[in-house]
Amino acid sequence: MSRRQEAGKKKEKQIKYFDYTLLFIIIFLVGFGLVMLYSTSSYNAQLKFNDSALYLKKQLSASLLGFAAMLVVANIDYHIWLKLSGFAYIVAAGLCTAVIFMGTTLNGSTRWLKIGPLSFQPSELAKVAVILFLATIINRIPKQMGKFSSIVKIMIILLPVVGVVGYSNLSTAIIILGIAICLIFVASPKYLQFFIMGGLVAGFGTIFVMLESYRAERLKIWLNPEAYEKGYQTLQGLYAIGSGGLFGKGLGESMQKLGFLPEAQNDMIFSIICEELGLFGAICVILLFLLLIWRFLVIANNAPDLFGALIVVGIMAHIAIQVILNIAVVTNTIPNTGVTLPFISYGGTSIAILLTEMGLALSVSRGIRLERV
Amino acid sequence: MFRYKTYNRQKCMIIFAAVLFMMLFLAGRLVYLMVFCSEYYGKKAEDLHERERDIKAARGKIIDATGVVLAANKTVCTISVIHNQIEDPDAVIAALTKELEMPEEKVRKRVEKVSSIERIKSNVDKETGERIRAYNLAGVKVDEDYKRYYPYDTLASKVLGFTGGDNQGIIGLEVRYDEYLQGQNGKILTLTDARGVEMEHAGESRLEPVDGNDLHISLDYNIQMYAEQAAKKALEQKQADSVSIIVMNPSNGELMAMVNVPEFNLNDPFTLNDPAADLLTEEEKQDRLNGMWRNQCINDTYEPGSTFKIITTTAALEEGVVSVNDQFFCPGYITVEDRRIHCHKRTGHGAEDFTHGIMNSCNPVFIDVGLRVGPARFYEYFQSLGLLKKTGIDLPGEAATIMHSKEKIGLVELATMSFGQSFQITPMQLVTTVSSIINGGTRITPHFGVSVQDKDGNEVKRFVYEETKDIIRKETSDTVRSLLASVVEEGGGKNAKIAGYSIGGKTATSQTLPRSANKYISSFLGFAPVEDPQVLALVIINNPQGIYYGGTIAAPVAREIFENILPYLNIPYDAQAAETELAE
Repeated sequence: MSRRQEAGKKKEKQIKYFDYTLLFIIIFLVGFGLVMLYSTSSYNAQLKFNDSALYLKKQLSASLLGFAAMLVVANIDYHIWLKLSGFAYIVAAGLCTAVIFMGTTLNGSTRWLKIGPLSFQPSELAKVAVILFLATIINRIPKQMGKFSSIVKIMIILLPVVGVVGYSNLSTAIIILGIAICLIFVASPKYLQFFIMGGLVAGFGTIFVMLESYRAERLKIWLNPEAYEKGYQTLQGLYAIGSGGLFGKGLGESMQKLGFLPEAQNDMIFSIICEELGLFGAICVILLFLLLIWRFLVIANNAPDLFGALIVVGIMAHIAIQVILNIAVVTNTIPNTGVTLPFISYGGTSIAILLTEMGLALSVSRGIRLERV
Repeated sequence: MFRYKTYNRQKCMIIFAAVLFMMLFLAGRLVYLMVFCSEYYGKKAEDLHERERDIKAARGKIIDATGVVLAANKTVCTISVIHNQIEDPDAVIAALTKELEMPEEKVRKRVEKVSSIERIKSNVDKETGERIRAYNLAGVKVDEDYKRYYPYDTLASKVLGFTGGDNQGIIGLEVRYDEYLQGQNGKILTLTDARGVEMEHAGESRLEPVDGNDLHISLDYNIQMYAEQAAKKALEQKQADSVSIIVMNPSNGELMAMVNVPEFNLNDPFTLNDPAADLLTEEEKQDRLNGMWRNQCINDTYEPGSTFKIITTTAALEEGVVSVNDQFFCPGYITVEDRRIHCHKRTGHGAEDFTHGIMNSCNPVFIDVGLRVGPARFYEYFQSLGLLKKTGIDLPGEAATIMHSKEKIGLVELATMSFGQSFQITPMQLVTTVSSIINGGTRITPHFGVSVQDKDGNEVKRFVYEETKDIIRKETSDTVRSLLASVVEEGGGKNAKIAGYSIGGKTATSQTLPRSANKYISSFLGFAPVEDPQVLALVIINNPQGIYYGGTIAAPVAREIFENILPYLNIPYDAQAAETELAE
């Protein structure tokens, strides 16, 4: 075979790939999220701000911004992040530090930075930065990933960000740690050390909880939300879920959103979905997320190189952890901790950055080379 | 660039598998919450969202034998305010102060009180309620409501009874038949948001009230009216403490009238008919109220006196120890053991047969007859005639017979019992027992309740009352009736005689305890027609001033009633006999 022939053949084999399935799942999720957000928030928005569409408008503009960012990122070769990730990591860490000193307090927690009329939640940015940064680091030393020392090193590098984020937002810090563990797990050829680590984390976690009465109280609330005043939100969420039944009360018919369930449009939006769309709707949402995660799996496993694969694994871990934690909290499967439901919960920074993140995954998917059989 | 290796892919699959597993677990948890706990949480959520307002069910009417409504309902309004819906508090206060004629500061206090719903005034009449509604004030609620209403105020007050604030019966038939009259309250359920504001689009779900059923009673408005008029007249003329009248159908126990004057106003049952009421303490006031509501015919016992001789006669005839022609001699007293018991006629009735003994109401005759029966048998007749049990009348609070224990009945006790002293029964018990004797020997249960009908007149329930047949022989019944006829014809009860009607009866004058107080109860028990008794009346005048002989003052009252009700009841009238009598 001549070289020319070979080249021609190669050209013929290569088909440009773009994961449209993923794109459509994303568009559907965002659209669904906007509908549910409007349904959930309109009553309270009308009451508080005299504008029933206020939350929707904010979320919609953030989503549009996010889509734009997604398209831009999707069309950039993701290898550029090999160079930029370090910078992104430092910026994210810096912004998270800034929050501690100059942040805006909302609902009792300081998580926002005000830039002009816009407020911005740097911890959301930190998640993406960590994904990119870890992918970059692991990509440099893939051979050493089996060593325990490299794992420890990576963790040490991560510590500043986890610490700074965790200072004001423990759940985000847990998510970041979770993402890191998933990335290292996938990159490492070994299994045993992860099981040991898992055991250690569980053990220390238990001791940690036992030592601090504040956390022990949370546990008690978790076990019996009806007996504690602080179990109010959890209980109201359960009321919403329980009153949904098989097919729900119908879109817009939720009663719990009328001020009974605090922060219904944020962390607890899934319970309103349950109430309005029933078990059927709730399972559909779970399936949709599962489908999304499956697409990440497909992209990661077909990615042209380790860096791209790791980015997508990180994204996959991010979405999976948040969805699981959120639904687990809402259904009172685990003690209450503030985690939002990706694409659906209200939060401008979150949706914009999530969409940008999706852009990254799409960008990696463009690198997949399909071969014609 | 490094390649993504197989083990990387494997581990990625493991993560996905773990995620899949966890999501399946969460889906399972959702199934548990939304299918198995759905009812529990759904109910709790509903309780949280719903505001409940009661719609009162209309209480069933009480209707007499002729269709006259004795207890009905009147629509009234309850005015309340919902604090956080009020837009113009001053206008609300001004309007309510004006329409409800309440002091301004009182209204202001309630309007300005921060509560979910505050009642301003209830039992406001319908017109006022509608005027307030016409103001169209935000936050003011006018709820329609029913109030028990008695069209004839005092008529049969102690029989009918009245209801309390929750529409529940308090005394009388209103209590006894509460379950039928009550009905089921409805509900207005409105959904509210967390602040308690009612949802506009949600509408209301109404649980319609089920109205109570109507109670049809045997009481006859006309007979009750006649009896009440006669009783009032006697009360005034004799300045008595009270006058009670019972009119009953002796064949089946249906009560046609039950009067206890003074009656009280059922539409205002908590106001004492005593001018000095303001000076009383709360406790005294309550005692007086209870006294005012007391139905003497069934709640109080008394010594029946000579009317009880009917029962002594029955026992003696049943026992066969006396016949109507037996001869007796009354020297004005009789000695029992070491006790000398006087006849009411101290000079004595002299020689007389049994018929004249009862016509004269001669105590020695009945003591003699009673002693012939003997203590044990006499007690047994008490038992078999039903005197030791309550009558079972369908009114609350029936008093039991106060009686010697069997062992303690010596000859002296037996002697006094023979003419109706030393034990106590209720007037109702006397009426029931005598009815059972004169109706041929069937112990009947006195009652008012006949049937329960729904609003459309369909019968829901017909009451059946216990009857004990053949408690005495028919011949005894016949003999007693003819004896009692002669008492009215030419004996002590002749003041109850009405030309053309065959009436039987017996008078009584009993001294109340303590005997030293010199208070008397005069009574007369009469029935008609003698051959087939269809109506029986007992008149009891409690503590009359002046003449206190039953034959003199109670019998005329009975006659007055009979004159009115016998034609009304179509009792056979013998025009020829009437003419002959008038001619004489």
